[in-house]
Amino acid sequence: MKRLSLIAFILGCWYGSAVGLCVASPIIADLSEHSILIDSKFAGETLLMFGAKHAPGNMVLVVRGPDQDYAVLRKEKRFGIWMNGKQVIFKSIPSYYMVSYTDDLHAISEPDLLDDLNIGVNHLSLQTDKVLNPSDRLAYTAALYQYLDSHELLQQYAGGNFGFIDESLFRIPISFPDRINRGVYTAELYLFDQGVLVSSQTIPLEVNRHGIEAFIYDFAYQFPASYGILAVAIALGFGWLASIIFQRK
Amino acid sequence: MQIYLPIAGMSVDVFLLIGIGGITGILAGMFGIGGGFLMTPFLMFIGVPPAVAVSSSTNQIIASSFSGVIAHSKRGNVDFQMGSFLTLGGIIGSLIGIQLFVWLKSIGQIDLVISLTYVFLLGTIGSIMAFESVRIIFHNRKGRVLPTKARRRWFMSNSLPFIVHFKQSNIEVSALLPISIGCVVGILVSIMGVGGGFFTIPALIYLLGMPTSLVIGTSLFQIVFVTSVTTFLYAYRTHTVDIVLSFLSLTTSVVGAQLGTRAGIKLPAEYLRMFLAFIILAIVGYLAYNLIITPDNIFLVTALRKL
Repeated sequence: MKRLSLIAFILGCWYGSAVGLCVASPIIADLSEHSILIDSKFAGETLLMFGAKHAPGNMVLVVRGPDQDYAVLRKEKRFGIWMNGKQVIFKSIPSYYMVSYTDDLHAISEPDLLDDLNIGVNHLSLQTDKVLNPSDRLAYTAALYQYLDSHELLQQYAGGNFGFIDESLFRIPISFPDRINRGVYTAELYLFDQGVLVSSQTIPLEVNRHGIEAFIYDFAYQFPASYGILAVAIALGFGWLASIIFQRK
Repeated sequence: MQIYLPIAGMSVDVFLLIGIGGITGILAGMFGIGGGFLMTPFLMFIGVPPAVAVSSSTNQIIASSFSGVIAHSKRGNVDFQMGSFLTLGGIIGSLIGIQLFVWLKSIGQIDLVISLTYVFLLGTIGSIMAFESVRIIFHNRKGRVLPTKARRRWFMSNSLPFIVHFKQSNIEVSALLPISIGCVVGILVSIMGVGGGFFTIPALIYLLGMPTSLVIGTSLFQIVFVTSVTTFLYAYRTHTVDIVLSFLSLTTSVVGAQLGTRAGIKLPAEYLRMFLAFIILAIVGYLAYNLIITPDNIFLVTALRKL
């Protein structure tokens, strides 16, 4: 009897895990690359997140870059000409933000939970250096988002670009433009079932410069005087070189 | 073909940089202007952050101006004596200009001041130059020759102290004049990030009475020094000089400067002044237009210095 029940148990688990009942976690995913190296040919990159979903519910993917401050300036017309008006500094905004969800976000979860997790463009916490009245806040925030969107630093896929291969296997492309900051990014995958957060997984992604580009950048910051002299010397050198070449002609 | 620029933090088309470099080089050789007025807005247009655009184009101007100066001096078209006084003024002006720049930045209206200065200063200069050169051309075409009076110069230029005889230009003026001109240019360069040739050339022609053939080379001589100092300061203090960007554009600009010099020499002086005047007025028109017309985007967003 014991052996029979043992066999039954093993068979049950095997069968159970196939339908997501026992051991497998609700979502398992990974990235096609864990680091992006920016070299002299870099013009943006597209990665893939792929995985399996073993439980019911809606998935949301958020990819976040390191924080960045932005200055948003509004021009105003005074005395017939356009000049600079109020400037607002937005602090600690993710320098890259991509969110992908299949259904309407509010159908997926409560706004409060989305706020806490900063899921969704309208649920990012925006700190500014000054207090703004509601209409200003709306206008300046919209301007910031428009800027980020135009540079592909803010991406929202409200229809979801989860490519489901069958009921459980999926892949999502994550595209990065050329002007991404270096640092540690996080790819966060969430599973919500009837408004409740069931599971999540966070995968880090490192973006770094590589090769001569990195060397030049570091040199410019660590040895600015030498860099300056070098920049001037190269310019003078080439100017002189051109005159030599043309002299022979 | 794309290349990634380390300081600008973005990738650009190599051919765009090569193209704009060549054009600014030709302008430098032909007209004695640095080309920054063309390069900097162009770089910003293709998405380069403004600070990097200004610093890197200043770097590139060194190359084309130096190439042009050598080309002009081989033909005996540089008054080094005058150039030295201009440069002395230029360095003083740069130091003053940097303080002014910092102050203007702190009150947040630097773009406006730059645009207004350009519009009024260059508008005046450009108009005078356009009027004067067109008048000569017009008269020449009609077969009339204007009475060859001594080249005009500012009436006070002889009454100020420290008179120096400038051999090559064959004029005797107070040394304070070129120093002051250089100083104004130095201030303009520090604030606007350009070579300043726009101001130098008309000033040398109309205030000092230098012959046009010598003015271009001499102006380039001063530009080399002023932009070298400015580039170094930009690199040292703001880390915004993108050497890859400058390098790509300067390769063709130095060639352009050589070609421009040859082309410019063949042109009669009044035609040269006329073309330059028209370029100046076109820029003034563009800036004035942008000051008055509602911009495409009322908001301007900049990423603040990060890693």
